[in-house]
Amino acid sequence: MRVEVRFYGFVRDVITNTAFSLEMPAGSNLRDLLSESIKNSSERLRDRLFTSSGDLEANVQIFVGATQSTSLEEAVADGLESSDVRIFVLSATAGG
Amino acid sequence: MRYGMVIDLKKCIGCTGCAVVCKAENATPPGIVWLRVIKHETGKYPQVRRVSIPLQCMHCAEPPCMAVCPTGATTKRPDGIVDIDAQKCVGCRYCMVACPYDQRFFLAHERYYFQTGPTPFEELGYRRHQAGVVSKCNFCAPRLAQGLEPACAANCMAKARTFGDLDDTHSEVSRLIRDRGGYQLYPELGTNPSVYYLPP
Amino acid sequence: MFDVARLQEDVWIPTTCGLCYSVCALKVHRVNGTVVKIEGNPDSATNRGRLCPRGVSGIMALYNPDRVDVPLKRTNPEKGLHADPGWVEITWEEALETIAARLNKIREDDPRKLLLTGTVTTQDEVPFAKIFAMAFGTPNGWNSGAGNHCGTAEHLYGALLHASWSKQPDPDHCRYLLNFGTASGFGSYYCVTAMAQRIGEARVRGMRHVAIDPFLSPSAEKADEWIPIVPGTDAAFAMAMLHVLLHELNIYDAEYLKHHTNGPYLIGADGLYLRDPLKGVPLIWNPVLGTATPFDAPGITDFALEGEFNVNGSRARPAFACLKEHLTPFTPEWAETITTVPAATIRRVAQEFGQEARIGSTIVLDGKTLPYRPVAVTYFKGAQGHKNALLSCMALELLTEIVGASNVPGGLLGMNSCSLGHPDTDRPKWIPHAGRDGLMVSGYWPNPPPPYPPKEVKKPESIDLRSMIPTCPGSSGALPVVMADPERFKVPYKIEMNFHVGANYVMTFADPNAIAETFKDVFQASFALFLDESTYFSDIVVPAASYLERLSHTADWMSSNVPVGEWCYHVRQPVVAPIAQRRSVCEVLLELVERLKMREEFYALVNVVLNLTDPYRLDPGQCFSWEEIVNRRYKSLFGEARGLEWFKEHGVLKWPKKVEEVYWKPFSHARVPIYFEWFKTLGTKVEGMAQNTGIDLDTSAFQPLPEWRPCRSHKENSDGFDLYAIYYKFPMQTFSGTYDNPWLDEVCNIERFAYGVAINAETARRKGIAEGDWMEITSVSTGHTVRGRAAVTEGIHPEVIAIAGCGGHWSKYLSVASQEGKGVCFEWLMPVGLDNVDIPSLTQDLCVKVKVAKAGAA
Repeated sequence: MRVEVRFYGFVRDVITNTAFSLEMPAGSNLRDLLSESIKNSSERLRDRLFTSSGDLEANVQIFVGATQSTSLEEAVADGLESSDVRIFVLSATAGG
Repeated sequence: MRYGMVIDLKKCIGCTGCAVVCKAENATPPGIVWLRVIKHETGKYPQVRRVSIPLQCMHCAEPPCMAVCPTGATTKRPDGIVDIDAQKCVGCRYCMVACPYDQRFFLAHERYYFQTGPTPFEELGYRRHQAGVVSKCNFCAPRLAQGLEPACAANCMAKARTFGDLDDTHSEVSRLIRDRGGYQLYPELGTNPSVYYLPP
Repeated sequence: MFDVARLQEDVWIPTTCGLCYSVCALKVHRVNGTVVKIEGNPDSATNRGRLCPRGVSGIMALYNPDRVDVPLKRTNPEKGLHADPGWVEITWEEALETIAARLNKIREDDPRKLLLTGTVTTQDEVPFAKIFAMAFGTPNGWNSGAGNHCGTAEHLYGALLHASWSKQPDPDHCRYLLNFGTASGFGSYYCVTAMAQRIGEARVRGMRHVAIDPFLSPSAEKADEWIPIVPGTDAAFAMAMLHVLLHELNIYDAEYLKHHTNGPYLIGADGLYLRDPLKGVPLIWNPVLGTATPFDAPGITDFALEGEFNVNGSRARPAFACLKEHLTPFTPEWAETITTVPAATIRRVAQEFGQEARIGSTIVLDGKTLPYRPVAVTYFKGAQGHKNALLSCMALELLTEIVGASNVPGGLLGMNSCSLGHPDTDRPKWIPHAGRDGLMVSGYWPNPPPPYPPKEVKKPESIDLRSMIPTCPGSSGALPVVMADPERFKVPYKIEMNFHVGANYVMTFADPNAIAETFKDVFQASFALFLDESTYFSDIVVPAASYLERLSHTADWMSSNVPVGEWCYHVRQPVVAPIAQRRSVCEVLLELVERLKMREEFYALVNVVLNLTDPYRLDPGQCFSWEEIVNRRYKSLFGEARGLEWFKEHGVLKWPKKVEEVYWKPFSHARVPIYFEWFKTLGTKVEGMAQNTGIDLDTSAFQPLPEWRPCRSHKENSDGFDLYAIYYKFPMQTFSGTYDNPWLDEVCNIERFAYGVAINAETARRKGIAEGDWMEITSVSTGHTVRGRAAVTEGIHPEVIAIAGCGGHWSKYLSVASQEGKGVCFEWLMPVGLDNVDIPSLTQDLCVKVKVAKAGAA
């Protein structure tokens, strides 16, 4: 299944291509997708997305279509031929 | 009907919001400060008290300024407001000498807040002011005519000001003076101000 | 008033003030195109028709001829504090082309080289610029106030204990306000005008206000009791109070601690939680069963708060017991030597506080029976801005937690912790909830994610150490230090461009010389109202529309609503069209997005960050105007019928708060820490990362229990430097930005403290200084000297001098502010350096030892 992957936010210093397509086997979940994305782009992306114990970083939000996902074990797509996944790496740039 | 203002010094936090809103409402030029806030300190460290005291024209029932005005520019309205007719004022400033509260102001010549000239606000607002005459708080008489409170009372963010009819024993101002021991400044001078203070 | 016959237009426009972050609702009177009066909007549930002096003075900010009116570029290549930039006027097209070209270059090279500098006074432009910075790809940003005017550690505890950015005493029910130096209710902090009214009402109602403050400040003046204290020692006072409560009076809210805090969690010999071997969750001791169980096991009827237990061979004590024991040596006698407050006073205040907390009592509100704890402990910049910030704020917060006065009637309320949303849409909604180890996670945080659970410690990625120190909740006091020497901190890039929205960071952070040195080689594009001291470092300045000239997408934020009463959202719409060539920053940002061809990423982030719902999400296939985005934001929140047009007409939308929003704690299963166990583990990780990266960092302050540690000023014994200098906020000015307003200047000139330096009468006499004398004040830390006129008073600690606000401007483009005698720039006294920063929270230390002499004295 074809997945359109888009990265936003604090990633441009670790990957040059923030939008690409991946061909994922049926039954893939978001964790699989992120692993594949890292392979496809750069290992440096891993540190931006994950903690050392493999959890998703708290400032990363993932949307499958219009729905925000709550777990990396969620399916990349639900019986659809293609899917669109957006990963937002939010950076807290100011406060006070 | 006698207009009066009660200022609760327990509530007043000395923010000067009243001084600035007076300026905004009445578009008073530089140096003409119809309302100002001073601080008064007593005691010795560490038992110290510092109280903020807003000052403005007291609208005295026995105004010394009126007694000395040579042209009759200063008059007392039936509602107690002591008013100045700028057309009659010749700027002798005798009233300023006579006022024991130092609440009258003389505009020597047209002045603006910025050296570049008047702002649009000042262009409009200073039409209400004349060089060469004395001016002072008028309890926002134009607002009263529209059924509004004076700007200082309407804006006070500590709700320290109450405005009303001193002749009405049931009014809020009368009640506050009675119940909270409202007092005037320099009562011994016999000016009988319409502005009362509640103790801090 | 006005000649009615000549009037063609006489309208009152509802909008929102932008002179501080209280963002009070306004009604502005426009007559024939001229703004003639600004008043509070009586419909607003927050400021209720009233305004502070700054709010009222806004006309003179709108029409001030010092305002930047046209885009400018510098011709003088030299940058310095006093080096005139040699401004020439350029077109907007040239300005935007230059800015866009620079941004493009940086984005292609390394987007991290862009820094966003913002100001806290606008709650619209900077948050929108943050989205731009995110889409751009940089993590680097700060609000200049992080230096000297804002909270840092205080906001961290806001998140951890109150699920909010800030907090207020319950103005409806508090009976005893213990105020460590804040000006809340007296002209500063959040919701200035709203709280001034409500705290005033509370005073009349009979609330007792005890002010602990080095200076008889505007707030302390109104207190029932003023307790002078040495700056930066508030934690010692608080710890002694905790000692008295727990060791002498035995006053604490056992039920609250058992059910709503980690007080019962078992702590092992290593200072960490004992955890269930299977589930990994913290254990508690169940005294009924005589066994340790996971804290969240079903059916627990009681929790041990004291005692020592053997759990699988390990010795453990409940966290509360650890805290209690830890407090043993910190007696009022101990605190007296540090604070100079008599032990008897500390003891008495502890007694009053403990008794007035009325532990065990309840109150019925809206049919619900809730704990009634009518005591509140407030603190902000003064008590928090110290080298020991994390540990001292902890002590101050524990006073509230120990007596159970947290987010219950009468106590300290988060502003605003829990929002269930408008009845028609259930939006915006944020609710504190239980997270890792059962501890509370904030439902909403302006800089996601909230500080708990802490982000993993990473090597420095940003120019402020925050990726390595996740307990900094907002702007970092270390930013200029790292920016000046990124190699020292192993940051693999340098900042090349500063996208500068409004902040006067050169004046408002710390030593302007040091800041100037750091920023002088950076390309700076500024959106400015005035050519202030920071624009001396700009390459391009474009004229920003002030709040009376622009539309905002959010004139409100988490801390603009008072904790009680009603929710109130209001619009900021232009009262006059932007004068001259001024433009709304948000509109310009949208144009930059187009020029940089960033629309797709930018809109995607706008949708996420502003939480836009269908059908209001931005589709990148279209180009949306600023008006349309604002419209969609309102509709996302409040429904199709309440878009921008509705808000423009009505001004405010308000609805009553529910009891479970205001006093949310009893309804919540989330626990809060009274033992900050994870600070310890985090400290170890930070230490490890620092060592691995080769950065020298003192992580010793990552401790789970409160301490008072001296700041540099407390240890300073250099000859002649015998006084502490502090600054304080007062109602007539906001930070440095209002000093060019001639109306505010006029009232400041009347009363001696506003522009003067407060000094104790006896101290002044000893130094031969009389009222009104010019004084020279030299900092032992920076070596700089500032001048100010003595305001001699009995109302200040003999070892302290106090400077009001942030005056002492020197920009030649500020005709009112930069005259001699208009206040003092305190920041000259504060050094920039990691030694001056609390490492765990990256809070700046703002007390400093100075030498004071009459100017011209030998």
